[in-house]
Amino acid sequence: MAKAFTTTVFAANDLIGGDSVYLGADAWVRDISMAEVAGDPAEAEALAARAALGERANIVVGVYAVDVSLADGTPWPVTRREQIKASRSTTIPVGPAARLDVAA
Amino acid sequence: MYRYDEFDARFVKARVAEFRDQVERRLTGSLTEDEFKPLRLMNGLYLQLHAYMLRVAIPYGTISSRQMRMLAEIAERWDRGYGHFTTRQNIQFNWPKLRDVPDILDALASVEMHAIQTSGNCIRNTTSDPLAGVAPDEIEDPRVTCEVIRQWSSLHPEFTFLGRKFKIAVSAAEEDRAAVATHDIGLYIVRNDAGEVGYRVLVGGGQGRTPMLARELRAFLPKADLLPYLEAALRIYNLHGRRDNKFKARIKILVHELGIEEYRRQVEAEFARIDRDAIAAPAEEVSRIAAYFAPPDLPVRPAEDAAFERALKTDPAFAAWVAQNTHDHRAQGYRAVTVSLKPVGGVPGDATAEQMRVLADLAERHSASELRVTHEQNIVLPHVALAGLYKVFRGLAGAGLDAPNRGLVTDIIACPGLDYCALATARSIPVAQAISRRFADPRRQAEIGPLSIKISGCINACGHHHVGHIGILGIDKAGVESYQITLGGHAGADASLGERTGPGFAYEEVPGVIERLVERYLELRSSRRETFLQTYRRVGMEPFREALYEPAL
Repeated sequence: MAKAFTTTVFAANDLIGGDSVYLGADAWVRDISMAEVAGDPAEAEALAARAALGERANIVVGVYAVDVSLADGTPWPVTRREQIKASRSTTIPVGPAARLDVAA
Repeated sequence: MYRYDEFDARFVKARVAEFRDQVERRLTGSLTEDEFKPLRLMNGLYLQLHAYMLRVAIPYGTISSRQMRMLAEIAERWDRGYGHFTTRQNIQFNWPKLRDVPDILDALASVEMHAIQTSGNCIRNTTSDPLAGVAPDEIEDPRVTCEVIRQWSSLHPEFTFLGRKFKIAVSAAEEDRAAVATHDIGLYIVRNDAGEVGYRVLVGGGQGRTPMLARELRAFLPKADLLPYLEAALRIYNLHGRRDNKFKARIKILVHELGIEEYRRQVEAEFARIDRDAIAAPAEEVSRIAAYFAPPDLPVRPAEDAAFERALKTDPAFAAWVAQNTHDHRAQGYRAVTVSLKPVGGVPGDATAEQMRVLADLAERHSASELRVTHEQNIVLPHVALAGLYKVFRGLAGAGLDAPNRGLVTDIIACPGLDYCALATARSIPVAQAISRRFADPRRQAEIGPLSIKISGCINACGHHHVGHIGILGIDKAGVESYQITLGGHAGADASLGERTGPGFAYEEVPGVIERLVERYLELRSSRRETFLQTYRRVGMEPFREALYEPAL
């Protein structure tokens, strides 16, 4: 049986910076809340085709679909992995900030 | 320490120039990602969850003060002010930008470092005993062998595109501090009945989704035969190894499927056939390399030092640290120091640029400008005089590097996990931090004694959980993190793989689970001298399983 469709956004990594980006209405955006949401398979297919252009234009790397839920129309990933990726940082303080954290 | 000759320097510089050109072509679009990916991996550059990650080679974990300072500079200039020391005795930078990587590699080359073969299906950094050249129980410095292997395996045309990555470890001491049995090939430097020094060769160890301990391939291999024998062993693997299935591509699977006897037969036949003299390292080249590892010219010292003895009596924190974090040195009046990168609540293996500079300075003043990275993600200052120990301790304390916990419950190995890694299925670092905070009290740690906790954030087992006395494996269960516990693993000479306790636990439950295991151990141990591992090996899984799964009465 085919998997039931889940609301989706398209994620990738920025080619130069390597940071996580999402396909927005006009461009690749860093804030997932600005990502374009596909509400059905046809929309997902259209977004996938647009996302692939970003890869071909060497703007982003490694496009894939991310399952999201919507709160007031704003997408947020369903899985822990994608939530961490969308938060664009580690879940804990690191580096010099962590040193202060440990010392405190 | 080994110093680059002209050939080494030219080769590394040429490689940086080549990669600079490849990056340029990627940025301008003349290389696609599919074309570029294998090239960047050859140069240690991964693309992770939030950013690129650059893994820099620290051959067999040995690094100079000058090199450590350069790592600090790279961390500040091109990254976020810190780096992460790994279980392969390397360092990773977590946030470099693609366009900056060629400049980083140039900076590394200026201090005889690089990132070549830190990724890809090739022979990776050969690891070794962090107390190499120092430990009283060693036959000879294993790093000479490591360096011979490094030179042979760098860009080896036949072994640059193996079926899968290939890891070698070398130990020359009675106590195995290099986890030799968990490697694709493990070498113990041994003496035979005639008193000759050679190798006991193990093959087919590895962790990952199918953990296996290495089996003995050869009980004694004469030293001169090292490279021809490795070449034969790798060739048989390269010819038969599975390329159709990534999960079956490591040599451990081949050895398991062929059987050690048949694999050995084929290796020995190949070894008999090849022109050994053409492959063996020339004796003069081995001597040239060995000269770099001659013990440093340490001033002669008395066996005792009055100021050191006084400090032991007056500063209990120092005494606890000396007892736990220093090791016998073969030279009289010296100790080797383990600098713990596991402060309570810290990120295992991380060091800030400031801490790297403190380590570099202390090494320069007190350890012949030499440091080691350990596979347990700590740093060793190998040559500290008793008379300098207190100064070193105070210097480390000022930088938050004085945790007296080497080998104790808070000396946790953890992979980067889902906080960084694109392959991870669960977080590792915050789990390590929570356990570390739970067992923060140094008296309690001392009461518990030797206990290794190792955490991996996915089945690839970079956190070595299979050989943790307590292993923790984070997996993804329908989008939620879940943690499986294994008990009884060990990475030493009497290595063993951990056994799973049963169903996994939620992220928040893990510190409490570890606490229940530790409490049960304290109830069960026959005396204070019986370690967690010994108790587990004596009583088995059942009492621990009860502690985790039986409802409290």
